[in-house]
Amino acid sequence: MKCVIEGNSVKVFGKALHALSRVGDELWLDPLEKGLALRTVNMAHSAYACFLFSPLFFQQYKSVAELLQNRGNLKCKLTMKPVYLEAELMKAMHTEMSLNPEEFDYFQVGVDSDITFCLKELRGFLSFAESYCLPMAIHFGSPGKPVCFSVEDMVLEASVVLATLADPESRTPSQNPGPQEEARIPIVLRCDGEMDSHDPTASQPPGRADVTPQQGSVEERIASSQGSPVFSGLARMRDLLQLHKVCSLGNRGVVSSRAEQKFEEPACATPMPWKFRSLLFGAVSGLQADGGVSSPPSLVCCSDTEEEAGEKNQDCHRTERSDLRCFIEACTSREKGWCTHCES
Amino acid sequence: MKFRAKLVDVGCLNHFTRVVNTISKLTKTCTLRLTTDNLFFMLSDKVANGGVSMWCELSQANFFDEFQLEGVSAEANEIYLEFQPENLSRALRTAQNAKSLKIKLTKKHCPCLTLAAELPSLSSVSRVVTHDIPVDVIPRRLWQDLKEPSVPEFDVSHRVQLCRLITEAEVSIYLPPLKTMKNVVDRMKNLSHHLVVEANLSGEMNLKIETDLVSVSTHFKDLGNPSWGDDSSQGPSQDRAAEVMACARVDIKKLQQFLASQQVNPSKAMC
Repeated sequence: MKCVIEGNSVKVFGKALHALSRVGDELWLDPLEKGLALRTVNMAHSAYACFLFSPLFFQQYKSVAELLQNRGNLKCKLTMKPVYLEAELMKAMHTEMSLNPEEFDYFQVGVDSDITFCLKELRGFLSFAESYCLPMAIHFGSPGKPVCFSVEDMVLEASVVLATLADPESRTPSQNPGPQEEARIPIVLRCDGEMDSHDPTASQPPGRADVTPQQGSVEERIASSQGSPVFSGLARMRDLLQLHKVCSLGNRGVVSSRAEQKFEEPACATPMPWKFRSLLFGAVSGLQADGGVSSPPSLVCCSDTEEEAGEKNQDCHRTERSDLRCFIEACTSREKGWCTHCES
Repeated sequence: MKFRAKLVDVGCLNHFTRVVNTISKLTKTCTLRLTTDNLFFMLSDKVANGGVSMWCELSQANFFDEFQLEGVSAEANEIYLEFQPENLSRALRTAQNAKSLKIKLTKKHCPCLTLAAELPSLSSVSRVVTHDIPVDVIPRRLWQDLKEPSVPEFDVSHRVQLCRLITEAEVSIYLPPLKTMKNVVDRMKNLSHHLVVEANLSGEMNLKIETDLVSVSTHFKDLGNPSWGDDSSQGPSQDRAAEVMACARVDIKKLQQFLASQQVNPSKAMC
C-alpha cells in the first residue's frame, strides 16, 4: 500500500487517529478502491468506529487493484496505545440539557425514544467533528439497538457505532470494572415525537430531544457480546460493518444544508434490520432571515481534557462549535471519570 | 430548609465563577455557609487539609438579584452544606453566557444544589442546562467547628476577601502583585520544600529559601502596611520597631498552590 498525504491533511489524519484511539486499542487499515478505511472496535465489542478517506484526500493513492496484483488479500492491523481511565465511584454530579427541534437542521422522531450509551468512545469523534465544523447525523432506534453518529465531507466519511443498553430501566451499577476495562460514562438520549413522517416538508411536532447523561453505571455489558460463549471478532466486525452500511445509506439521504432543505429517501433494496430516527445538529452556522450568518452560542469554554493541572482557565468564544460536544465536555472529565445523570 | 437564588447579570456571574474556580483549585471539599446576607466558603484548619484553612465571604447582594433563605430554624437562620467546589466550577462553566442562573437547594436522590442556566439558543426557545450537585447538609451541632477565624476586620473596599490565615498577626503587610510573587515562588519551589516569609512594618518583605547548596532571597520594598480596624485600637504590632522582621516558614508547595489558584484579581492582598 502506498499513500502520500500532503502537509495540511496530515493534521486531519492525526485527529482521526486520535478519535479512533479513544474507541479501541487496535487499528485496522483497509485499502479499498473507494479509499482508505481506518476501523477500530473497542474491547467489549460494543463500539465501532470507521474513518473512510477517499482517494481525493491523498496526494497519491495506489489503487487496490494494483496492490492486489502484488500482494493478494491485504490486511493491516496496528496496535494503538491504550488509554485507561480511573473511575471515581463517588457521588456524581447530574446534568441535563434540553434541545428544541428547531435547533436541528433536520429532526425526525416517530415515537418517544430513550437510549443509554457510553460517552467515552464518542468524545474523540466529537472532537474531530468539531475541529472541522462538520454537521453530524445521529441515527438511533429503540433501547438495545445501536446508535450511529456520522459526519461526512467531500473527502472523508466517518462514523461511530455504539451499542445501547437493552433495558433502560436497569441503570444500577454492576460489578466494578476489571483492571483492563475502562470505566464508562453512560449518556441517555431521549426523544419525544408524535408523528411518524418521512416528509420533511410537513411541519414537525414540537418534540424535544433530551441528551441526558446517566449516573452510576460504570460498566456496560451488552447482552449480545456478553452472553455468547464463543466469540468471533471478525463476525462481530462484520455485523457492525453491516450496520454501518445501513447507517450510511440512511445518512446519504438525510444530510442536507440549511439553505437547500433537500431530503431523499434512503434507497434500500433489502429491508433495514433496524428502524432509525434521525437527528442532525445544525448548530455550526446558519443563515439568518436577513442573509447574515448567525454565530451560534458557545455553551462552554475550552475542553478540560488537554489542560495541565494549574493552568489558568481561558475564556474562549469559538463561534463554530459542535454544541453536543460542548455539553458533553461540560459533563464529563476524563481524568476523574465522573458520571453524569439526568431525569426529565 | 429552603434556599433559592437568581443571578442575571453576566458580570456578576463571571465574577462568581472566578471565585468558585479559585476555591476549587485550593481544596477538593469545602463548606458553604448561607445566611440571609452572605455566602461563605470555608475550609477549617484540619490535619486532613495539611493544616491549610480558608475562609471566603461574599455579600449576596453584590451577586444575586433574588436571594431567599429559610435556615435550619428561626434562631439559626443559616444553612451549612459540604460539597465539592470542582462540581460547582464545572457547572458554572456551562453557564457563562446564560441569560439567567437559578440556584436552589433540592432533594433528588440526595440533597443537591441544583443550578439551572437559561442559555441563548438558535431557536425561539431557550436552552436550559440543569446541574444537580450532591451536597451534605452539616448538622447544627457541628457548626461551631466552622466559626469565623479570629482576625481583625479588614478595612474592606472590595467585595471578596480570600484566604485569611489564622494567626496572631505581629506584622501585616500588603503583598506585591500576586503574579509577581507567583513567578518568584515557582522558581524557588524547585530548589526547596520550605520558604521563609519575612515582613516588617516598614513595608519590606523578603521571600527566602536556604538549602545546603544554595540560598536565594527576593526582596520587596515599599509595599505598605495595612492599619487594623479603627484608629483607636492598633493591636500588638504597634509596639514593634518598624524594621524588625517577623518571619514564618511555610510549605512552599502550599504557597505555590494558593498563588496558582488565584482567578480573581484582588484590589488588595494582605499577609
